[in-house]
Amino acid sequence: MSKIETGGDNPLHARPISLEEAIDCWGPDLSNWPDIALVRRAREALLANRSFRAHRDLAVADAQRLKATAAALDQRIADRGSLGRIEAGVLRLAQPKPVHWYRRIAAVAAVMVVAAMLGSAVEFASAPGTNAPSVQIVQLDPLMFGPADF
Amino acid sequence: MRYRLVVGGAVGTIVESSGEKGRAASLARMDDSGSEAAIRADQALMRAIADGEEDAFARLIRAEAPRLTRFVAAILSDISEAEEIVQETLLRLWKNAERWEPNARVGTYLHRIAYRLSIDRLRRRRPHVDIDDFDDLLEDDSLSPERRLVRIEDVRLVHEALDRLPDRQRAAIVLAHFQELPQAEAAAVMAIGEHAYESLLARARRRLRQLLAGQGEEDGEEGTGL
Repeated sequence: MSKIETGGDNPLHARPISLEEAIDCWGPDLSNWPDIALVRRAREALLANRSFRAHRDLAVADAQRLKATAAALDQRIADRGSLGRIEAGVLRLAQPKPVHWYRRIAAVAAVMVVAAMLGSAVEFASAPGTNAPSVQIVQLDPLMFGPADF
Repeated sequence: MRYRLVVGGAVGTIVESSGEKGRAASLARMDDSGSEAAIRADQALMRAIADGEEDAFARLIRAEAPRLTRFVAAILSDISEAEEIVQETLLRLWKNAERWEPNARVGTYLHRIAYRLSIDRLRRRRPHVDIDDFDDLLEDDSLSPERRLVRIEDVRLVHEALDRLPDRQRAAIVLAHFQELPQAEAAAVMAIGEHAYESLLARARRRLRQLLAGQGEEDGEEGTGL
């Protein structure tokens, strides 16, 4: 198959590439190709070019075999309990991080605010409840009331 | 494999360091708000981990460990070693969480660390095929015994072929077909530009096809490839 020049202006792929090379670069699924012009040519070639069709079919088959192999590997990892061991091992080995000074200050400030709020609330709640005898203080103005009034 | 673009600014930063600024800039305009939301979620999670919240860290482990383990196991062909590498990777994230910058998804960042650790491990030893117990796999009751045997044999063949690929070609195949990462992310994991990743992946696919077709012995031209 002849080389197709995509042109130097194309930012996606500025080098010559054949349709077979495009399949090797971007995979057999044409919807994932970044070059629209090349996709159009590939669609035409799939209908007209037997050797290109065979190349693409082989790429599809290889991709499926790789997918099956990946699934088999996943199953094998799960069967061996690797993920549980990894999580337990990492959490065991992960050292607790030291608390930063600004977090300490924030914690102390938060404790003080909460304590102050609690104290105010208690004071506010308990003040009307006390049954202590009330004492009324009256201050008399000496300009209005003379010694005789006392 | 999906050819999807990751958040523009983030990927732009990654690819820029790989010397593909112009292309990254043009791709960056094709943004994806879903990815932005995901990166924001990652940021919040990483902030919690940086603050020492073990629950958040456990959540991240449960979310990322399965994919990471598959990735490393496929690269190393050894699940026990993969467990060690994944543990080391996650511990590094825990220790360095405060320095994490949202240039990429957390998953990409973890893949990058795991990839480097795996390559270091491979350099210390020759790869081997650890596929002894594949017979236990694929216990799909809907399959006839003959079909099951064929499938087990096929998985074994694919693993053998993968194991015979050069390390970087195997990584490219695993990132594309096992992890289904978009090209930008896969290139970032391997710390190469997207053009370089495309070329590497194309070579890897051709080589794998030859190996699966039983032609690997005759054509050794890419045996020491990238």
